[in-house]
Formats: sequence, structure tokens, C-alpha cells
Amino acid sequence: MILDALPLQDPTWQLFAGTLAVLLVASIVGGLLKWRVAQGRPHAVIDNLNSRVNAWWVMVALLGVAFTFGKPGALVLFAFTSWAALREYITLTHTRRADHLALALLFYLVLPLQYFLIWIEWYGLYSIFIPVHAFLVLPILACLRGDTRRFLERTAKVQWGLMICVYCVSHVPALLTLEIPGYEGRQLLLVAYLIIVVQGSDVLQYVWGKLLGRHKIAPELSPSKTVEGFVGGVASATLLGAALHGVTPFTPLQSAAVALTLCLMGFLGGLVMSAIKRDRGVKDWGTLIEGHGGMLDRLDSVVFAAPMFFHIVRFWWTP
Amino acid sequence: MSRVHDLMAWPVRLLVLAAVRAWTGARPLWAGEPPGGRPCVYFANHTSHGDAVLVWATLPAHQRRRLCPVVDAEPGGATALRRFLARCLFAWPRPAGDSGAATLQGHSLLVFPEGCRNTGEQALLPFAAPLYQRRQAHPEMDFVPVWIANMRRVMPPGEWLPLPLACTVSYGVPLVRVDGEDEATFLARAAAAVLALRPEEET
Repeated sequence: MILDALPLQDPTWQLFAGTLAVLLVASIVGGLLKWRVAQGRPHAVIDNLNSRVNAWWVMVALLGVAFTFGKPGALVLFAFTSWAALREYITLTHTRRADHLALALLFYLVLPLQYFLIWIEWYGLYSIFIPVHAFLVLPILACLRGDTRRFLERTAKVQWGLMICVYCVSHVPALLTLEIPGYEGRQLLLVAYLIIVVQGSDVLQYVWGKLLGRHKIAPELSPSKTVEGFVGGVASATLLGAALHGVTPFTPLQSAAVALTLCLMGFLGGLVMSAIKRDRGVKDWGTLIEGHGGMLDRLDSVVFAAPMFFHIVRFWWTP
Repeated sequence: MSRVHDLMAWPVRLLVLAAVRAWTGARPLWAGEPPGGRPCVYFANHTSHGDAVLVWATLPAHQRRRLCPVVDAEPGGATALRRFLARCLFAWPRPAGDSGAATLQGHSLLVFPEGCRNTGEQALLPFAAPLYQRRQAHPEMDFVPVWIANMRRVMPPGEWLPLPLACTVSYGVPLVRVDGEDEATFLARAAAAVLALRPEEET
């Protein structure tokens, strides 16, 4: 039998195959909607849905390729993710010429070094390198140029960008450094779990919102988020998390509680990132991912959920 | 151009294009139709040494090959590296007789009518007369206004390390022909067309 040749018992493959099946269904539904509802004519919502699904194919493929290379693959993928996110963030941030050296250091030294520290699994340094060392050195470099205009604002914005785009994102691959008794060599599954639950929550909120959404939950922050989408999305993503407990070191109940925390952090993180966008007067962070906007538009919920997840697992599941 | 240059030019072009795209995203925004095969005159704001390369990288391939920037520093006065890059990327050296001969050879010109790089706080410096003279000499060519956004932050004057920041190049619709327009009116109209392309976030 050809099925026996496939590693169907391997949870990584099961997750991957499940994701591909969901994408396939999404593509078919998108194609049917385009055919029957839009009848091939341009339709804002359906076309956006289809470009979102297409972008998901690319993102899942990239994750799949990275995962086959294990830890180095995940580190390189998320380092580039941080790079793209930081580029979008700094592009939309007011900086002055005097910040040039500090910004160059951000991209060319702080970012690679943070991922290198995770590579060598030096927890004591990678957990404080950015919030202590980088935060102290960057304003020093900026002030040495003698330009004090909007100095506090410039410093705060650069630090916050570094925090969300590099420090928080780097906690996704940092999951690989956790030594959980009885779970050795399977930490990539934790990364997959985090991404599936948090992004699944986003997707399910979108689906529930489009189907049933009536009441806006935060109209001044994010006009597309609704109460129905939030409740339905978070509830179903929590169930998804519980169903995925087999790939984690958690029991079903623990897995549901962890997933609920991740979904709530992801949702609130999305609101914070929306507030920054509104402050800057833009709708999207960038144009990198068709249908979604920029890297940060896709990543906003992961940014807030990743460090939380890392520390939950580290505190309760590692000795 | 020597044979060595010919051989080197192709990989250098690919490398520069890949680097510019990786660092800046180099995204063109077209207000009208992208230009066809006809040579045109692009006139843009000028804030960084990287401006000409960014415009070059965002143009469609058939326009990119014929682009010939008219910059303040002539290649004779520039460093060897910049001279080499200019020869690889652009339709360089520029044919004698400036835009007249360029038109004959099918080149497109990129001019920075501010005359020098704008390092101050002003959005745009007043345009200088040569743009008007070009227009008088070649009323049949399309004069396309261009706004280069963010390049000043990627490589500010005096810095050598480019930052990775998203850059867009906005191309407007070509200026309409107005017969008998005087120099000051034309230059003001051209400057207004460039300024109108400035994205909201920059203001």
C-alpha cells in the first residue's frame, strides 16, 4: 500500500497534512464563491479572501521548507521575518538623520545577534540582551550626534519597534531551546502549535466575523473586528488548541487554557498594533503579503502571544 | 564601453537590482499608464545618492535599459566605483548634445531639476531653468513628474551604510502641453506636479 510508505504516524506530518487539507478546502470554497457569487467579476471581499488564501499557501510552504531544516531553518526564517517586520516598522516611524547609526546597528548587529544568542541557547543573555543592552546603547548613539529634537519620542519608538519586531518574534524559534522532560527533540511541534492556534484564531475570527458579524468591538481601532467574530473565533481556536494537545506536552484541559491565553493575547496584540497604525494614519503596515498587507499585519497577534507562550511553557513545563 | 565592462554589466545589473529590491522593496506607484517604448524625461526630487538607482530599479525593463540620469556630478568627477556602476546600470556615457542626441538614440532622461541634493527641511527646492530649456527643445517628449519617497532616510548625505527601509517611487501623468508658457509658470507647474505625488505619511 502506498499509504504505508507515508509517515502518517509522525505528528509533524499529520499537522502539515491537516493544514494542507484546510488550505485546499479554503481554495475550493474561494473558487466556488468567485464562480457562483461573483460570477467571475471583480468582488472586493471575495478577491481579498482568495489572495489571502493564496498568500497562506506561500507562507505554509515557507514554514514547511524551514521546518525540514529544523532549528537552523526556523532561526533563519524568523530572522528574516523580523527583518521584514522591522523594516516596515521603521519605515512608518519618524526618525531623524542623527538616528542613522543607531538604526543601522539595529538591523546589522542587534537583530542578527539576538538570533545568534538563541542559536547558541544562551537564555541568560538573549532574554535581556535587547531590553537591557540594546535599550541603553541605542539612545547613547543617537544623542552623541547632538540632535535633541523629539529625542525621547524617537528613542521610545525605536525601542518599541525593536521589542515587537525582534525581541517578541525571536521568542517563536526560542521555543526550540526549551528542554521539556519527555518531550525531547519535538520542540518544533510547539512552534507549529503556537502558529496554528494564533493564526487559526485570526482566520476563525475573520470567518465568524464575515458570517455573523454585526456589532463592532473596537470601532476606533479596527473597523473590521466584531463581537461575534471575536467570541466565535476565540472559542473555536481554543477548541482547536485542545484538539491539538497530542502534539504538545499538555493535557487537553491545559492545552485549551494555553490556547485561550494565546488567542486573547493575539487579539489584544492586534488591537495594539492597529492603534499604532491609526496613530501613523495608515491602513496597513506594508504591501509584502498580498491580501494581508505587510508582514506586521500578519504577525501582529503572534508578536504578543509568542513571549507569553514561551514563558508559560518555560515556567510550568521545564524543570 | 570596453568588452570587460560589457561582460561585467549584466551580473552587476542583476546584483544591484536584487539588492535594491531586498533593501527597499523598490515599489513603483503609477498614477497613469506605465510608459510604453517611447523615450521620456523623468524629473524628480533629489535627496540621496541612491535616487537614480531607485528610479532605475522601479522602471519597467524596457525603460530601465534606456535610462540615462543627468546628475550634478559628472562621472569624470565621481569615484571609480560610482563611474563603474553608472556605466553598468545606465545608458552611459550620455551622448553629446544632451537631450537632443539622447532623443535620437531613444534614451530616457532622468533629471533632478532642484540642481543639487536637498539636505534641508524643505520638501522641494525651487526648480532650475534647464528643465524649461529641455521642454522648449523637445515639446514632443513626455515629461513625467516623479516623487522618490524615503530614499533620504535609506542613505542620508554623508552616510555610507544604507538602511533597509521601504521606498516607493510615484510616477505622475505626463505634463500637458501649454503653448507659449513662460519659464516661471512652467517651472512652478512642474514643481507642483512633483509635490502632488508626495505620499501623505511623509508630510
